[in-house]
Amino acid sequence: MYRDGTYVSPSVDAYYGNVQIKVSVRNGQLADVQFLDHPKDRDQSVMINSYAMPVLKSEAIQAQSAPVDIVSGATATSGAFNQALTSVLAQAGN
Amino acid sequence: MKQARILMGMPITVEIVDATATGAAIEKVYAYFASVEQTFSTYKDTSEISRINAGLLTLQNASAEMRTVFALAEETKQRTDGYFDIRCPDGSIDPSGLVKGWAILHAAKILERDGFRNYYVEAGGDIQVRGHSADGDDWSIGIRNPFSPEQIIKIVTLVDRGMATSGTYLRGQHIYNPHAPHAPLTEIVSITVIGPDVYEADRFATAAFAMGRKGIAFIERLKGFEAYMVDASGIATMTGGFSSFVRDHAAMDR
Repeated sequence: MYRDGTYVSPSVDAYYGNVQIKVSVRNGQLADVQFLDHPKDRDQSVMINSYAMPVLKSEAIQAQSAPVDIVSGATATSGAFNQALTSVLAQAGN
Repeated sequence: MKQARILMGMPITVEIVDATATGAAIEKVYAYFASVEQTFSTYKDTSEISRINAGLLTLQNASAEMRTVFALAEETKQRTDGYFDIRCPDGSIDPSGLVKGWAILHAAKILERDGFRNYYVEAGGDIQVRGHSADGDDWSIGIRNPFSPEQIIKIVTLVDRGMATSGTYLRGQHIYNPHAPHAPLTEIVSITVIGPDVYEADRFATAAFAMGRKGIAFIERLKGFEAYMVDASGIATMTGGFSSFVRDHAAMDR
């Protein structure tokens, strides 16, 4: 439970600009989060291609045998997501 | 110098290639990850995030790091049409989908400030690389087979970039679609994203995975990002520029 009211964060360094949010709490719950400031120039630079035509390629996956320095793969670091999903699915009668 | 430890519930590996590497420098990185765990672990009742979720602490009274992460999560939610959301279906807040990449990038910045230029930091399969490996080559990274975790299905080489994979494998599904939290994601089994840094790669991999099939098109539209997506039938779909990172077979014979 949170205390009801509206809370504004300080403007914080987000590595590539400042970020500030406003949070509203009603009935002890986070009811709304508004974005007061964010690094807009970066936003634009990242989204500048947003109307480009996707050029996607497909292939069947195939095992590779060459050695590598590092391996990338998914892990269940967000255990709470898993718990939440489990409880939701339980409620849904899945 | 290379070390691996379990922190934040996952193996974290740090390798520094520079001759000036010390155990103390690596220790500093692990101390940082330990502090992140103390603040953000939803499994520790005493963590700040647990106290926020229990109503014992308000965001305005939380640490600067917590407020930063909430702000970054909100920004990411807006940039991903709401597909990235730290609010769980049960109303609790779990920022771990953002904290991992954010913490890895921060750890790399610690090494950078200490003067290192050739290193990597990997936590739970998400990676920030810098400079070159001990062999003087670009860092080579294998993408794990979602159907057979001991296998690698693609090899890329990276310089000064980040890479992250989101998926359902190893320990079951841990990402859901906030727009349809009850629907299991079965179509796509993993998506690996290459980005300008691991924070960017991680958050957009998480969001793209939650989008299902259209996740790869979302990454295609992001300037500076590439992705490799694997579906349930073992077919991979990649963005237009992904193959420029794939290690060519001639190079492997050198």
